Amino acid sequence: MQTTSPVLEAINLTKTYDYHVTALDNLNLSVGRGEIYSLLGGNGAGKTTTMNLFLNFIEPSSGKAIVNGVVTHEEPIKAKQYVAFVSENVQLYGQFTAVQNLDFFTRIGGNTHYTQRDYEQVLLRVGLQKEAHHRKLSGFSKGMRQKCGIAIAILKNTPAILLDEPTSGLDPKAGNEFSRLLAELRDEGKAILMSTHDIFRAKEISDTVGIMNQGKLVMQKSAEELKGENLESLYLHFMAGYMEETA
Amino acid sequence: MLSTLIQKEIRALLLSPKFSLTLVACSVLILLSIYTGINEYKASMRLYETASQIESTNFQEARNLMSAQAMVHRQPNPIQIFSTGIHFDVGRLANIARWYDPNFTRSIYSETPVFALFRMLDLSFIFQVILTLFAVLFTYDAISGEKESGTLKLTFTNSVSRAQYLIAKMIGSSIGLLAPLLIPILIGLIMIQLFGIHLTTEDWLSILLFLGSGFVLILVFMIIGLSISAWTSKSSTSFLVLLAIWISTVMIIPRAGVIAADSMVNIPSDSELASQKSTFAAEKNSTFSKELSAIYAKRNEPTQGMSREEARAYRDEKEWEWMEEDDKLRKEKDAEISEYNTKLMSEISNKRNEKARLAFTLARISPVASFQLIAMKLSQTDLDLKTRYLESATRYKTEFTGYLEQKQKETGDPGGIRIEMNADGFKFDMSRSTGIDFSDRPRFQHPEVSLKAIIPQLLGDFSLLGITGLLFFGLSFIGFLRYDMR
Repeated sequence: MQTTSPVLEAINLTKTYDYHVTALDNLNLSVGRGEIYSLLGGNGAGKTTTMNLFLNFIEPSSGKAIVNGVVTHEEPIKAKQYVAFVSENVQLYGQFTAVQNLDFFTRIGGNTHYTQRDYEQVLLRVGLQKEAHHRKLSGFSKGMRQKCGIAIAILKNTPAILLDEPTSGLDPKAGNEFSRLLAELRDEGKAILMSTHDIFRAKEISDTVGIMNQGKLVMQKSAEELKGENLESLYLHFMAGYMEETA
Repeated sequence: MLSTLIQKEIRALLLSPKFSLTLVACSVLILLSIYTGINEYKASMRLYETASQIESTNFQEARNLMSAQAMVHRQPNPIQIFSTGIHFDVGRLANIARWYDPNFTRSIYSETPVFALFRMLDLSFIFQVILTLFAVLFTYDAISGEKESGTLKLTFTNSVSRAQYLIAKMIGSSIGLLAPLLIPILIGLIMIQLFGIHLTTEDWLSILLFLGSGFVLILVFMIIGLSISAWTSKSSTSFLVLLAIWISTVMIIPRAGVIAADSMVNIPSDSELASQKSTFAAEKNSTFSKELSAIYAKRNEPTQGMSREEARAYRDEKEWEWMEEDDKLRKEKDAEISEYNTKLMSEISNKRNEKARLAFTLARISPVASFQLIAMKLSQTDLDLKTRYLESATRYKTEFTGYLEQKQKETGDPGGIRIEMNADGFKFDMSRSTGIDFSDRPRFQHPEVSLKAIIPQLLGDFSLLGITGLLFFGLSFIGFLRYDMR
């Protein structure tokens, strides 16, 4: 539930590529402190475009993406100070150990005060076993790399966290651990925007759920509003309904 | 931030197989090239010293003008250990004689053609071919490789500016490649000292400048690699483009420049030149012979009606006067031939210079050619090496023939072979005087070019290397500003 002014905010955010392909159409959403916002949608719905706009990897055609009050395409370097990102498939330096990767990415994230002990503690917190801390990443599974990615996001200690399909490809146990971590981060006051295909997990941990289709936010409901509703049916309904409407 | 990025680059390189491969390959190649260079230099020095000693002994043993033969031996330069240039192509020695222009013959390659087959492995070659290739291998995936592995995106979710990232890539890669070079180079320099090769302060400065220009060349290729990597999204594409650039700049452009210049400026070949010279000389000699025959006939006119003894006494009385007359005429003829040859050679030299300038200008499109020209200038094994020695040898010829003439006057020795024919047969007289001391003969002055005179000649090529580096760094910056990080 949004309790304070939004940390992440999209205002009429639109991205149109050449040949008038609209990847994102007039998106409006906000995520406040201590809130998890899940974006559901099929492939090409505009979820990743939204993430890329918040990270200023692409510039909006119109509208704004705001992180902690900073418009990302106006002050991208400043905006990135307030946001951490975990991708669907976390890729780190394979020739470095988990701790070395954490050290590099937290340093370039502006945090130079951490010690090796801090890194090890965070890695334990995200569920990476101790014996893996000083092993090279090249031998890590996808789940282990995801844990390192989340550790980096935690250590960056930003008010906002963006997660792009973070549970994709994780086994149920790892998925549950991930949900637990997200809940902890919310409790710490982080504003979390997560894109996902996982309807079950979205309903379980989200404060707000949005459904996107063909670049538009076609539904947005709070956890309160979703109580007693079947999110899967809603998802199918909105996807199908929108498709009928556009057909 | 910058230091963190640089540290990461260095650490990543240190842990990569590229670094180990480079360290091993560079150590072996650099040490081998310096060791070969030292041996070659020492062999050249031994040859030079032995030849000089033999010449000195010959002069000590010479007792008449006929046996006084001067030779000029080219002195090796210790910097050729690093850059042999055309040292092995140019002749080692030239005979100094009144009758013909000095010409340096007996080059190492002409005497041992097997060396010419694969050329010498000097440090200059390693910089041009091997290290430029390593520079490309170090940087071809600097940006595109990080994009492919996904680390670029994660890096740029942080407050990292593209300029910082690019500079860190450049500095990190440079340190990663240059550090493995320093160790074998330092060992090589120590080897030079241990092998007892004397280096002057100028030599040391030349070596430093040579190494500096080599490092600049590597940096230029690293920047080119970085630039192409910043314009491509796949490292395989980047590698192919860079391979094409490397082949063009290292293999094709320098040679194409020379070939193009050769077809643009027409210069008679050495045999055509020799033919022109000998035709002119033959004409002059023929005219001279006819003149002499007429003179001899005229000189013999008074002896008509004399007895053999009277005629001989008459000729003996006139001999010196006639010899001086003959000598004067011969000198006039030789001077004409020499003047013609000088004029011809001057024209050819101008054309050669024009061709060389054109070839260098075209070849300098490639930074490798600029480096090669710098290296050759510093080691004084550049194209002017032969010209410098020829000019010095020509000056020496004038000095030495002047000296012989002086000796001739002092001793009254005609300096030629006297052949006398009478009823008793032929009588050969090599010389009339013996015991001439040649210790006061003029000595050949080796053409030495001071570093002070060389440095201004290097500025153009250093500037070209710098401009190429800056140009590609600018391109890499433009490419990276537009780079899609996703």
